[in-house]
Amino acid sequence: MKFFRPIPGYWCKIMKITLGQVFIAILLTSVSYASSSSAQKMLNNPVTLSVEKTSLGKALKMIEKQADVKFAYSKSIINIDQQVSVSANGQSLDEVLSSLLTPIGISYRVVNQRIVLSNTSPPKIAVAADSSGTDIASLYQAFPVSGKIVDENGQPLPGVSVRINKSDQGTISDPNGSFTLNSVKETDTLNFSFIGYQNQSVAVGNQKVFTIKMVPSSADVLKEVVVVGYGTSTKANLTTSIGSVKGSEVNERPTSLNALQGLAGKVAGVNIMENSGRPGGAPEVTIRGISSINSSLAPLYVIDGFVGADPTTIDPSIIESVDVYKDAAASAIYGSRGANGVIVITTKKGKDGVSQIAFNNSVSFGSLEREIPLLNASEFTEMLRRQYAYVPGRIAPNDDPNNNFTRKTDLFDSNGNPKYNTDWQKAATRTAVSDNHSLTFTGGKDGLNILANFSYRNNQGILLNSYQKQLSAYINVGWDVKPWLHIQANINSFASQGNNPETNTFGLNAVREMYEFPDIFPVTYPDGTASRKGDYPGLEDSENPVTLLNEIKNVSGVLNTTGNFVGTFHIVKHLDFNTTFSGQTGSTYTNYFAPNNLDQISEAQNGVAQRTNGTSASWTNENYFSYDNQFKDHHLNVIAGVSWYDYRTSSTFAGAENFFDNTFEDYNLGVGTVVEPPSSSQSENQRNSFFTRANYNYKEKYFLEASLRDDGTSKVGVNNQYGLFPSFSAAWRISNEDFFKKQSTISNLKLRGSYGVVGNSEIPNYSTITQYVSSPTVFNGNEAAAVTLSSSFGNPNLRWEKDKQADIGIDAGFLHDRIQVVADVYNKTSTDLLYNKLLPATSGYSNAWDNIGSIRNRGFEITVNTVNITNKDFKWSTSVNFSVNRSKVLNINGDTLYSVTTFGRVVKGDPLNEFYGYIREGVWGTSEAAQAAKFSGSVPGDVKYADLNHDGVLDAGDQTDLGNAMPSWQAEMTNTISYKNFTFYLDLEGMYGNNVYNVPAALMEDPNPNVNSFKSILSAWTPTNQNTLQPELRLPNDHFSYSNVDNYYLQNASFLRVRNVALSYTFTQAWLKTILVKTLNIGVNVENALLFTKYKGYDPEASSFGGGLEQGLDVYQYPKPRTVSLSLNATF
Amino acid sequence: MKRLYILLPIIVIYFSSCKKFLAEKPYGVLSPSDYYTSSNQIRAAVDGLYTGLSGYYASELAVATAPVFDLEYITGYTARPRSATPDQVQYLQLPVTYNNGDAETFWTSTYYPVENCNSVIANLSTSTVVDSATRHKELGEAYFLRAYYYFNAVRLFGSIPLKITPTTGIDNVQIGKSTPDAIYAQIVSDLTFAEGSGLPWTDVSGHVNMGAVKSLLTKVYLTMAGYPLQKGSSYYQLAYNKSLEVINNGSYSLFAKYSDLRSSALQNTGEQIFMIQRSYTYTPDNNIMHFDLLPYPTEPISILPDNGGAMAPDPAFYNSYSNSDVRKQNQQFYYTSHTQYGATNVITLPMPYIYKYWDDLAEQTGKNGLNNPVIRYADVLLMCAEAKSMVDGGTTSDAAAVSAYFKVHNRAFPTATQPASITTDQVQMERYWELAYEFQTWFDMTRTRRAFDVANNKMVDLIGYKAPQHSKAFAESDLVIPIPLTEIQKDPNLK
Repeated sequence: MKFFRPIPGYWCKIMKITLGQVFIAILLTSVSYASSSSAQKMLNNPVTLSVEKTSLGKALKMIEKQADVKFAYSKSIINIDQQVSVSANGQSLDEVLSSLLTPIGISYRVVNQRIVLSNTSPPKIAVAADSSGTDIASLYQAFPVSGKIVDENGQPLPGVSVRINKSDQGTISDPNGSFTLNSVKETDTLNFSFIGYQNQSVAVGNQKVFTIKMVPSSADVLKEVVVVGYGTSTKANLTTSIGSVKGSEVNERPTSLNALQGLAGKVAGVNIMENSGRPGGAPEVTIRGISSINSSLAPLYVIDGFVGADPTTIDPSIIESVDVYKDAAASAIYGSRGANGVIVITTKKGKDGVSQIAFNNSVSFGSLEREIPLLNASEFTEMLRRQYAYVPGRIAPNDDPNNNFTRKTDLFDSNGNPKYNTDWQKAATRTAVSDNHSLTFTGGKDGLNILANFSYRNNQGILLNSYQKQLSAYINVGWDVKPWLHIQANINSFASQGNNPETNTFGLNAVREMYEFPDIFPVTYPDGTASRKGDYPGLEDSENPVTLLNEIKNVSGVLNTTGNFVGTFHIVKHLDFNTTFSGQTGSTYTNYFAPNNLDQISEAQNGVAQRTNGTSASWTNENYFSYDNQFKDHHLNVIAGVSWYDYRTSSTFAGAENFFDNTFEDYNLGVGTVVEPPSSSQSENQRNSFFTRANYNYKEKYFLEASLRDDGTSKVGVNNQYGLFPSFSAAWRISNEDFFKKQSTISNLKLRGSYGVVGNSEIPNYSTITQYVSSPTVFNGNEAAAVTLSSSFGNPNLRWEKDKQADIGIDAGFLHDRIQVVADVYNKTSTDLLYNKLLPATSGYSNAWDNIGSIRNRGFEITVNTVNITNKDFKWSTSVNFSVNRSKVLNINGDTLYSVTTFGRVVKGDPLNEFYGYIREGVWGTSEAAQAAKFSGSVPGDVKYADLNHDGVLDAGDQTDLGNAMPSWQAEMTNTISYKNFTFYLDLEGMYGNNVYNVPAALMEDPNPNVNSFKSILSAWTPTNQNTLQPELRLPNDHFSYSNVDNYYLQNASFLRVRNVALSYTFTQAWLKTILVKTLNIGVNVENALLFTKYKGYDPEASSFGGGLEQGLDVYQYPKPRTVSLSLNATF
Repeated sequence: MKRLYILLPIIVIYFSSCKKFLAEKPYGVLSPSDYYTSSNQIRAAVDGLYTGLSGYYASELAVATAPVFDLEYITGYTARPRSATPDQVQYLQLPVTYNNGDAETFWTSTYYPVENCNSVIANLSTSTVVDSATRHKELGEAYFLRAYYYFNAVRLFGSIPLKITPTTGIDNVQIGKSTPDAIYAQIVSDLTFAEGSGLPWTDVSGHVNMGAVKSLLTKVYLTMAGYPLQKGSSYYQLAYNKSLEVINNGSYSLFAKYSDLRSSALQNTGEQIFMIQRSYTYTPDNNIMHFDLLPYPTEPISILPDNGGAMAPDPAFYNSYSNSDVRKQNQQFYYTSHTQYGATNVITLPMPYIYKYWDDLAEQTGKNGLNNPVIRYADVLLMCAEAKSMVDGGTTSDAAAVSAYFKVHNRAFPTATQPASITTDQVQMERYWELAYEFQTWFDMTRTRRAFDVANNKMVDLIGYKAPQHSKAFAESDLVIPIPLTEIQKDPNLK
């Protein structure tokens, strides 16, 4: 192996020099890392000092220096001005503190390398009977007390709850912070509580007037830890736009299969489209709009430091928090991979000394949320009769005495009316029963903490036979191996399996047939045969949806294991070295089988069986130094490191046809005598990055942060493999200014600003290389090798796509953070778009990847969290988020991109996701025959489109923008109301201004349907009903008539959804302890409870081809269920 | 010890290499930089040139649609029983506009294969891995195919870009149009090269053979003699001479029975000079014709009866056949009844449908593997007769020409006797009947600017004639398809 290979670029040089110096420094310098992390060792430090009558504060400072320790205390509890004397000569710190502090009523303990001082608990008041010398009578005599409550700045604090002995009795402080209680006893304790402040208890004794100073709570939301790339921060100190969600919020909806479903609606600016009701369907996540045309739009997921993880593979109940990096400055530390935002998931860790078992269970019942208005059997028969009657005298086969088709007497009575009326939406669906179970063990001891989790989820789909099962096992271990070494290791093993009987979106699949199968047919005839559409002459033949769901097997699954190992070396004080090794191995499979009797699917082939297998593996190694130090009022944190990533994947396909028997399914492909061409593939890609970030603050008032990442990828051109991604951000925490502390209305105020550049290179592998495609061809019936040029010209000059984003935000808290507001505006410009540019066909290629054009996304987001009411028994809090995003194509090199699948157009000056087509004006009337013929070769009864360019004929110039697939705004509101042990939860989701193209309606309301249709088709044009948008009914071969993409089927998909409504009860009764239960909670929950929309399909939040530019096309969507679930959660 | 732990990861970073790590290593694909190193590779590249032949047959989203049918819809003699896409309606009714998606397919089905030809010609011309005889033959195939792709395109679109060298970068890909003259000159040049490349006269494997080269050259000369170049008599003479080379070689002969044209055993032999190769087993190369041409509404006469309705003869055109014409009899070129699939009862169809592409095996197996004819000997015979009749001023008694015509006619009318002379109109009408629905008729109409007035059973001028299925009469502007707007947007020089 050859070391010192020529490393490209300045970065490698810099790394060499700096690392070299560090290397030498460590070799030559004696590592002074004396202080032990263990508490006892710290207290053993020797102290030598002698002071007389000095303030406690000064004395503590001197001890800090002497013993190399840090004290932590609140000045409102510890009076540091009191005079003390200390004299010590090499005694242990423990002895010194004991003699200094115990006499003045102060206790101490070591927490996190700091010595925390607190008041010694007040001495217990002796119990009446035995206490000698106490006036027993006075103890029981009630008297009035009053007092004043102030905040940490001495300002009056209204609204503080004052309780006697934690009972129901008590009051609330008035606007002046004053309170009065009429009847308390000497033995009573007063409890003061207020959100955002620590609870305080004061024994009454003989005191009549109290002055209570409330201390801000350490559980203050602003102090919540936020995970930033390669480190942590707190909400208060953030300079960037990061949305944080607690694990408990992710798990509010018990039916969520994965973290992404749980995250839906929780963060402003994060659009999570649950586009299908299919079990196991992963939602589409878009952060702050679509910023790329051809490159990936998916955010980067990081789980416990494992970069590029799959968030669907962990049990959501072990999630401690989710942090969503929305602006470029937050994401820039992940450089190229952060272009679409970063979602960081942190799992729970075991806590020292607390062993706990959590057991979560739910069972749920899903059913079709609503039916769409399709024709019933008699309406369908009417449609047939009208179609046939288009030609005078022609009668429908069911009415025609001369037409005795095979199933006529089974289907129709002697008057030609249908005998059956099968509601296929009911017949093809069921009440889906699902159950989820999760078991989590957590605990910690002596520097070792552990979490072990096992979960099983079995989700049935509402379509017959569809299901998704998941099994995951997760272990997370943290260990202080040595005073200078901490390791964190986790392993996640995940398996899932699901059956989706409806494959092939446009084909004769089960979902499509659920829409299109006429109600005149039974599921099976009395003789046991299943009905087919072709049983009625002239209808498009196909199996019925029940047959398809029962007979087709399309089972796919994932097996995935990830391991992540993080080692943290405390090299010297303030300097850590972190190294991460992560690995992932996975496999996927799809097993397909269609038996020998399915019309147009497997009948001609006499059975079809296929297996597709894929494997993937990746490893990541990241190494970085982190330095963190406080110099008086200056705090500095710096990280710098390097990252390596390697990913490879391969797949294999095999298939066979012509099976003499159905029992083999896909388990023995060798039985099939006709072999489908096998195929396989392999590809890999690599990344290498260098990154650094510096973060500085002064007195937690002024914050500055800058980061730089240099990213290399194998995917872009050899000459541009490395791209530089800088970011800057700053914040001013105005509320920490002295001038601001005089008021108490605004408890927190911070202004933030950031600018950063992130990259995107998520394009197909090998886009820089022109390739040959090798696929067989045939000569005289025999296959022969054939090689052709691929349709894509390889562009060796590809560069990174760059997203430049500026963000200005404000974080504010009012009334002691009872009202919290986070608002952001951003402007994101994506340039050098990795665009699969269309080439003139004369070049011989259809496209080439190139860096072309730019897109802008601008938006506004606001989140408001309020605690509306809080008192002992009743608490009501609300969280509202609202976001607006507007996209605009600034430049795509003059190209116009039409999408066949989405009926969309991407063109300069327009927003993305714009549908494009004709305007339906009505139907040509009898008096307009000549005009109709001239305009579009139409006849009366045909659809009439608007002549937008007024040239008298229907042509491309008559098309226009029809509407957008993305919402103009979206909002989410959650309310949590608790009364005593009951908690009520209500989650409302709304989108406005989005449109969905209703393809089923467009196809089924075709003027010449030979399938079932919507009820609205009965309003079709007739000579006596000319004022309609529905063209005249005819048989398919009566007359050329075709539908263009038009505004009629682009339907308003604005909606308001009661996404979730839940009621739970938490048991607090004493008997729980007798059965070893710590907490017990039961709940009932209705997911997708109510939907208000004008959209005519199943659900307006729909897309059949995924998100991004494909959003908003409903092609026979899998209907979404309404799910009622019961949950039982216990901890032991 | 402690230091060692700290050192280890630093060593890892320090000695890692950067450039090598990011080098792309493609698997399972070939790149031009390391191709053309063996005779097998070259053979595979040459065989790849044939895959473009089925470009027009690419199925679209809607049932029974493929651009190739447009070549019959545009004649006005073809009905589409199933409802049509907006693109198809333009061909069915006229006019075809600049935003026609099928026109885009005709365009790309020209230039993608042409680029493959350009690439093979450029690489193979300098190759030393194969002997010169093999190289010459393989170049002959490439030149023939490039000429074929251009010939279709120039006839459809008129003035088109001429590109005969491979693309080397994406910066200079906008090239302007060339005149039809220049395109035809290149076609003749390519075919002339192929003539001299030593190809065999017949090749049962279905590769390009000398008969195909000379037959195509015949058709090129015949077309150049007519519209739009109007090179006239001398080119009719060239066409006549070239067709005689094929006829006199004796490698080809008409099948005795029309059903032999649908015989999988007789493909690439006898009358079939050049065909698009199809497979029963290799699914991507299945033929679409059997299933797409089934009756619509569906009749249960084949294992998969539901996907038909692409084409049916216009009633007036069907009726233009003499009742004694064998081709009109049931299950020759057309059919009006068929036995039910898997049964013996006969189903009568409500109207005649095309039987030329009926595949007896496909009816049973659901897979259609018959080849598609590209050049038939009957076509060459009729070109011979037509060319000579034009040279001779509209009527000829040239023995070779009359005999050529009569061979074709006689198969349809077994009791007929050979005439002493024939007229151009007579030959051209025979072409309509003989080559119907083989995607030749439109090109005959545009090169001759004549149409078959089926109502009156005579040849008339094309301009001003309203074909039975069309909504308007042919105008000059209908004779070429507009270059697709999407291509003009990508290359404004095409405007």
